[in-house]
Amino acid sequence: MGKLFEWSRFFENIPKILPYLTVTFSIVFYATFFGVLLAVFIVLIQIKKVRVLYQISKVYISFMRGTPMLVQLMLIYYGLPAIIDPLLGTSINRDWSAVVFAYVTFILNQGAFLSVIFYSAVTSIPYGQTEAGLSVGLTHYQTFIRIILPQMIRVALPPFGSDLVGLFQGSSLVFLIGVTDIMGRAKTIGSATKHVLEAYVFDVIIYIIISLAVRLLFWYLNKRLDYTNGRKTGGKEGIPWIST
Amino acid sequence: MKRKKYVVAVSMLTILSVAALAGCGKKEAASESKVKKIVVGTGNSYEPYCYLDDKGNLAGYEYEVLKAVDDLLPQYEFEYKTSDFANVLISLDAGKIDLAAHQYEWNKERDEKYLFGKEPYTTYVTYITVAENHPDIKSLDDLQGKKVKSSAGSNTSYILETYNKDHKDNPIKIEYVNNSTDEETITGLLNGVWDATVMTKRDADKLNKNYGKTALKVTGDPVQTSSTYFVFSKKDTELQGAVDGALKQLKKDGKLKQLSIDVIGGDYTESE
Repeated sequence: MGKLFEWSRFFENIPKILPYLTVTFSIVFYATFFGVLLAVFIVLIQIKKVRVLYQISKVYISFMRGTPMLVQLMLIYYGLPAIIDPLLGTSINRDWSAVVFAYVTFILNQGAFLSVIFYSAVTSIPYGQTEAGLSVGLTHYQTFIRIILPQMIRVALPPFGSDLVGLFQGSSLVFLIGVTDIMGRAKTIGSATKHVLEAYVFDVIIYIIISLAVRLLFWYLNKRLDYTNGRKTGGKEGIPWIST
Repeated sequence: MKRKKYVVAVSMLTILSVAALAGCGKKEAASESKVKKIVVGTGNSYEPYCYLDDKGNLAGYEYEVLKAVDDLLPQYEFEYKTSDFANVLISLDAGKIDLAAHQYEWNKERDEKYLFGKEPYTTYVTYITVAENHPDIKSLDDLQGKKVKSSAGSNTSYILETYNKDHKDNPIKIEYVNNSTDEETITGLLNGVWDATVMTKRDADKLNKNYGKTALKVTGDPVQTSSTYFVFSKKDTELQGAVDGALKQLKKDGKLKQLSIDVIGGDYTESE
């Protein structure tokens, strides 16, 4: 086995691992895109207190937040087909590849987490804002879109950003159901070549770059969406990766 | 009014997107003819049996043997699905795969749940394996109270668990480590994370060779002398018969032996 770490092997691994970034990104993309839609749907249910659905959404969120991601992944991968196939006469058990089950799991999980972020953002806007909007003759819908939404996005943005960073890391679990992402590729390189450390180190670098990029993006967005034009917080907090 | 429209739009979009996602996986099912598709489940980190090569494709002895079997069976077409070792048999339970291949030894517990092939395709003789400089350990009895590395769902775990049932006063401490790399195994044994593990002689040789010098040694009598078989779900007797027939032929014309020599580095098809 020789030396534990060698730069030559590190560089050899780069072209082997990089293509699998698309797997990681596609999971994050699907999870975020459909997760946002699901979260908006859940928040609507909660604000309107739609009967039955409201109670279901509460249990659902509590389940998604209270159980390990790995368990959810296994439940969806093995359990979902067992429920859906006999019910609808489909055969997703065979037809869906493992990565589709990974998408579904992460969408459901993100939907729950994001709904909590959105819900708290909406409720953080004082009701006086809505009253003000209504009093000048805006409809409920207009009030929401023009008054509440812009303020709520600002509130939701920072937790949304850290959730996204966590999502990137969480996606590494999919290897256990047979989806090869960058983490899984590192592992398989390890078993094929007997040298796993270089691959792990490269993965670490990728994750750090991604997390810095996401934070930078949200720092920038946060600054752009600062409607106080620097009067309150001034947007001079500096780049947040040092402090947080 | 507008609000209602908004709610309807969002729900429609959600339903549509779920439907779109459902469509994702359905592409392959279209080309179904007389050839029956068989999904083979195997592992992704047990070199040289099943692992991913440089380009990330499945490689190894299991794959080569199954490819040769597939060539002999025109009525079937094999498709491969890799996952973590512990998940292969669960996938067979869940009906995600039709055939499990991961150097499976026969044991009673497994036999109650699954259908075993009748034709072995590799011998599997396992020994207690310890670090070179380790104090004398010769048998399972010497391992009482000691930490032994094993993996969940393996035959070794089954043997150790069975042993512990009869030795409740001072059981072997089984440490379930799944998906470990060879580096982890060697390092863990050398620095005493585990006192021993159980593996075949050829796996121990492979580890030593890759490590560069002798680090591990097999010790004592074999813990278990068995062979490995393909594993099917109980109802698939037809598939099992066909695969067994193909294996028999591969043995007869010496092809299996050749594969074993080429891929594993020795003939492990009949005896060691």
